[in-house]
Amino acid sequence: MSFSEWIKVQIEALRAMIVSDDPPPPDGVEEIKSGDGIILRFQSSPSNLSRVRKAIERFCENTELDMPARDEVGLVVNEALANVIRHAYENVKDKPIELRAELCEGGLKIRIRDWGNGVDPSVEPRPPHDPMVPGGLGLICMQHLMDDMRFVPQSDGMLLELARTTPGSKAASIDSSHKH
Amino acid sequence: MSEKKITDLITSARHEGDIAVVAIRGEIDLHNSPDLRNHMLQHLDGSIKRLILNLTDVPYMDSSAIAVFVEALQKLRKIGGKVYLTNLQPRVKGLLEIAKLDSIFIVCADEGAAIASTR
Repeated sequence: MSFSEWIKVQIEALRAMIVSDDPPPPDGVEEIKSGDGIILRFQSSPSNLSRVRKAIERFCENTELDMPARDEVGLVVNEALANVIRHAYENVKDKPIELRAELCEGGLKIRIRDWGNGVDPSVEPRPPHDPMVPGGLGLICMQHLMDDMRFVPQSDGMLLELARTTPGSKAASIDSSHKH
Repeated sequence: MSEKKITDLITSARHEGDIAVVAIRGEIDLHNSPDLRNHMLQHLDGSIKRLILNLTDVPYMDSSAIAVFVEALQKLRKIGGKVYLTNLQPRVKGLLEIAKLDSIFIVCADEGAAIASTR
């Protein structure tokens, strides 16, 4: 890396640190480059879900993940954010959410931070999945479609860490495994 | 056969006897799935026992859309009815695979196949 490139990376990182203390924009999604990653900042309105999903799918084009894997990452981000909106923020639409994505081993790591009720859904007691009972599908998507998923409780909310490096469709393998 | 009101999400809807054929359009997530629910459940007025959902123009949907479909199925099952899903796009098919919903919905290649399987 040349000196000018190093300076550019440092400036981007400093900018990301400074901006992250500001509230997210009231409408839309703020996208900030940070080194080889991105930071997305937005409010907890369902109208932002599609924009964020598509931004992550675009970011995935920088990885070695193929299209089925990128699509699954987009779905997981959608489901994770929908859970934050519905459960951590109880459908209040103007609360802050920050998503950071960075390249990792041919795939990517994603960190989703909220300042909600701090409940870890992965340790909540829940009955076995019944297709006739709506709910819980978002968590199933995260567990099955990512290589790593971890809720890290914070003093003022929750951090969800996700990683995906495996190409191909994991959904297809789930389907074949429960059919055979 | 009767044609029904269409919306941004529901591009066509017709009733043939106790069958409702509803075509949905667009990406569906938590933002617009409440609208989909409101419009779709209007078609289940008690005279309908079989609901065929044509998803040709649905390139993407999330679990909130699945919840709407399951609610429709719950309502129809009380009167012995069924829900048919047709023309699944790859991402929609993937979500159904994850949710293992092929055991509760009847998945058909197209509307014609769905209508044929109701007979």
